[in-house]
Amino acid sequence: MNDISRRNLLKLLGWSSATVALAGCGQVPETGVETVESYVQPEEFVVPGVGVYYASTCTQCEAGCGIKGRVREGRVLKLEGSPESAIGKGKMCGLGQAAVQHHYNPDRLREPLLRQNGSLQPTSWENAISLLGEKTRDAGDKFAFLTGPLSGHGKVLLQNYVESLGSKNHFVYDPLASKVNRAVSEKIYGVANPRFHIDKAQLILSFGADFLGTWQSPVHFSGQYGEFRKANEGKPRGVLIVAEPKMTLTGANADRWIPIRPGSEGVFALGLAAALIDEPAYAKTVPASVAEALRGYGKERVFKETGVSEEVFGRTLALLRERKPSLVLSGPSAEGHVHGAQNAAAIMLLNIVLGNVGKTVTAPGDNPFPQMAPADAGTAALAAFNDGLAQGRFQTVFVYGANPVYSAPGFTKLRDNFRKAAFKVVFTHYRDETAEEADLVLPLDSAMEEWGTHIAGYQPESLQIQMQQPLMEKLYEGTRSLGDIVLTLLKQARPQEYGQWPDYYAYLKSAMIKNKSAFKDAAADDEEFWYQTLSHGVLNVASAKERRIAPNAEALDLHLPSAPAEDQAYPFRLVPSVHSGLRDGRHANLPWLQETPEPLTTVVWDSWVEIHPQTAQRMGIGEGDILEVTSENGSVRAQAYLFPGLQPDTVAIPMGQGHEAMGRYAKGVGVNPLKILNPVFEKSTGELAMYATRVHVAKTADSVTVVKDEGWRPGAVNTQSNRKIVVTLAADKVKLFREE
Amino acid sequence: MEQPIEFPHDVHAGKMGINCMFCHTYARRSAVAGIPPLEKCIGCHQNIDSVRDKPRIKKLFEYWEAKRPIPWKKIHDLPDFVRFNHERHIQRFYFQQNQPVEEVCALCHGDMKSKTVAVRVKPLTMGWCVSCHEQDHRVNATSTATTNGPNDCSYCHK
Repeated sequence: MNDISRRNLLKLLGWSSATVALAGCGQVPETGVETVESYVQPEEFVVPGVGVYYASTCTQCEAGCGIKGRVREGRVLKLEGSPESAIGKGKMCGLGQAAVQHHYNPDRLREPLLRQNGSLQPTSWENAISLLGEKTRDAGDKFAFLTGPLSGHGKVLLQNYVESLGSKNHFVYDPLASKVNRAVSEKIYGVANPRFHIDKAQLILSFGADFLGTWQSPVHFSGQYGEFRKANEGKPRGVLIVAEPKMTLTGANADRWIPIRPGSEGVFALGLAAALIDEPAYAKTVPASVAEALRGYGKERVFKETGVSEEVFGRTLALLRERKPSLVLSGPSAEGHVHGAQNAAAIMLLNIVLGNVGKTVTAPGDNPFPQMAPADAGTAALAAFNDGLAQGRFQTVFVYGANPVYSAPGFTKLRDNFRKAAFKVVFTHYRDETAEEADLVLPLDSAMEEWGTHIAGYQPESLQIQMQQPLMEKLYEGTRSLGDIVLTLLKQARPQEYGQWPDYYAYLKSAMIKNKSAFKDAAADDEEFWYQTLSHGVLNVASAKERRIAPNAEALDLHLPSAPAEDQAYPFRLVPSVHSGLRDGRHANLPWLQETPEPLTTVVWDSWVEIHPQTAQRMGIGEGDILEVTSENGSVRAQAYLFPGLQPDTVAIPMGQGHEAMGRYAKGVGVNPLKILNPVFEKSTGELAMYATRVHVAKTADSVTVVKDEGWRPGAVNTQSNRKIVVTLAADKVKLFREE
Repeated sequence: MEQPIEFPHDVHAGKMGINCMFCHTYARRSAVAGIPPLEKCIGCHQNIDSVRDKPRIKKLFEYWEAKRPIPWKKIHDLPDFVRFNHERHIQRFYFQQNQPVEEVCALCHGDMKSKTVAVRVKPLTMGWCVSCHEQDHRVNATSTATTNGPNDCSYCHK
């Protein structure tokens, strides 16, 4: 026995088991089971097995990163970031990666459906188009079109179509759009979408702006954040402070995370501003009227209303004084209240006081194509659309790029109101909740099958127009692009104007060539220019003038309401948090995003109620207990998840789940917190106040095991089988601040 | 295995002595050999009137006129977890060692000069691959130095 060393024994074992494996499994596929089709007439550059990359634009969110799609044997396989895109700079996020699952989704609609005898039956495109013409012919103001966010030529065509029908009812709805932010930015900075230089800041104070996760242009900001966190060229490593009621991904990356009472963000910001202008260095940064208004925000009020301690307040203030330039950002959790615009104004005022305007907050270049700029999307549009439906003013209704029956809060009764319209058309990829209510459902090409142009709302450098081009042949004969449908309808309405273009591609190409002179390095030859456009995927606008921001602090309403009294019946505030993958629910049918652990909780394939561990202990709630969360407008039941990253009087439920339709992966998974929101609106813009709903939480008798990646043993939070993953030190044991 | 067209390899490679890589042009450029595009067949056959009326050629032109690809049955296939690279093998044995091309291809595909359509004659199992990779062979046509095929798992199982 001793003759056989351990090494030789393993060799022997290894060989014998390998032999068994080889003999045991017939691993070589049988011949003739698959076919292998050759090309008929391939392009010269096509080699089977070697990928070709085509430039396009990601449409998974509104950030508009440039992408390059790898195509092999005529199939798109994977997307990469395009280095020529000023937004993505060659990077992409997980949400973008999952776009191929929209394209190859087994639940995609493949033919038009028409409601006959109460159910949706297949119909032909000819029939569908003639129905559209017939129903819109004399509709006039009885016609309404609800769309999701739009920009580029698609937006121009669609608006022209609505106008050609004699209607003014085009509503642009986005449940996650921050219209409040844009309105206040416009007032203070003079631009709706200022540029933020995160990389140049030495300190960032964010009030719920999740710029690393879901806010505005996350991929771009993540790139800047890398620079921000590096110490170089005399710039110290940036310090990040985040004040928000529920920890976002950005909050989780912060040096100091402040669980602020929801709605009191403005008071905290003004408290900091008031303390700063007491000092000679800052006294002259704001006009006298503002200084006067700031007197009402002494430290006592701040501590009382925000729940921020004197120590945290003092340290934040010290850092704001010490680190320049800094950057203060206002996000959805500060803006989603009745006084959301005042909160945002208070927060942005800090940038003026600290002298950040012109340094870390600058104006974007001018857009020579204002008609192609992104439509001003928000939730007020949904309310206007819903009112028209409720009053019976809209009889012929089109919906594209939005799923209002799913995402509208329960109190709007949108489903019932939608049914009141006589003829409802939904342009969609799936049989979602809105399509289920429609009279005519028109299946669209996927984002990888259609042409388009896009202009992103947030432009980090001089303006770029992004091209979207098909990455492969259409998967199904029966789908069409929205651009082609709208152009067909416009040709009927205005044949002289639009008759010259056979399809949307021809329209787009001629429109781009016509405006060639506006772009940098455009080739003299038209075809050469078009080839250039498609191979680069982006067009840089040549004459985008740089503007200077002249901040205006005069016109601000800085009179914030005091904290509302406690409500015994509904003691908690509800945060409908943004799920990084599912967003407003439009991606809930992508298995990759469902099974990607949510970054902060690691929960997959479900909804959950985040509750603070201390609150949970007080109420006898353990992880996995089914909680019933009730507002004045309904209730939802979901598993409890004990999460320390919450203001203790707050519960959070992620958005995006709770679909009743939309295919096999979305349907029946989790709950939709939007359904129980209260009818509270931001008073200056009319946007839905998403963070202003009060709820009651009750423990039910049911309990489940939470399916998550992190420590699975009871109570094993942040550990792996009760072993610590990383050895940590409490924050108060670390000297982060210089002793005064 | 019945193919849509009984392609005569014996005529093309055998009787006519056409180099394998004239039609299988992707094999030396890519991991997958691919099937020659229809255009390739037509490129020659539109000028070969003598066989234009043969049933197989008629069928070929029917596909061409309809612009339809020919649905060939796959004969040499490997499981998805195996990454075989045609390019590497042809570079080594044909371009570096200067072996006759029909012998290089025959290592895995058998003697195609004697067959019409392809038939799997080699087992294409891992043990069979390894049996070759374990043998020493010359580095190139002129050198006396020898080497053998890689035996790391990750070369084929990526």
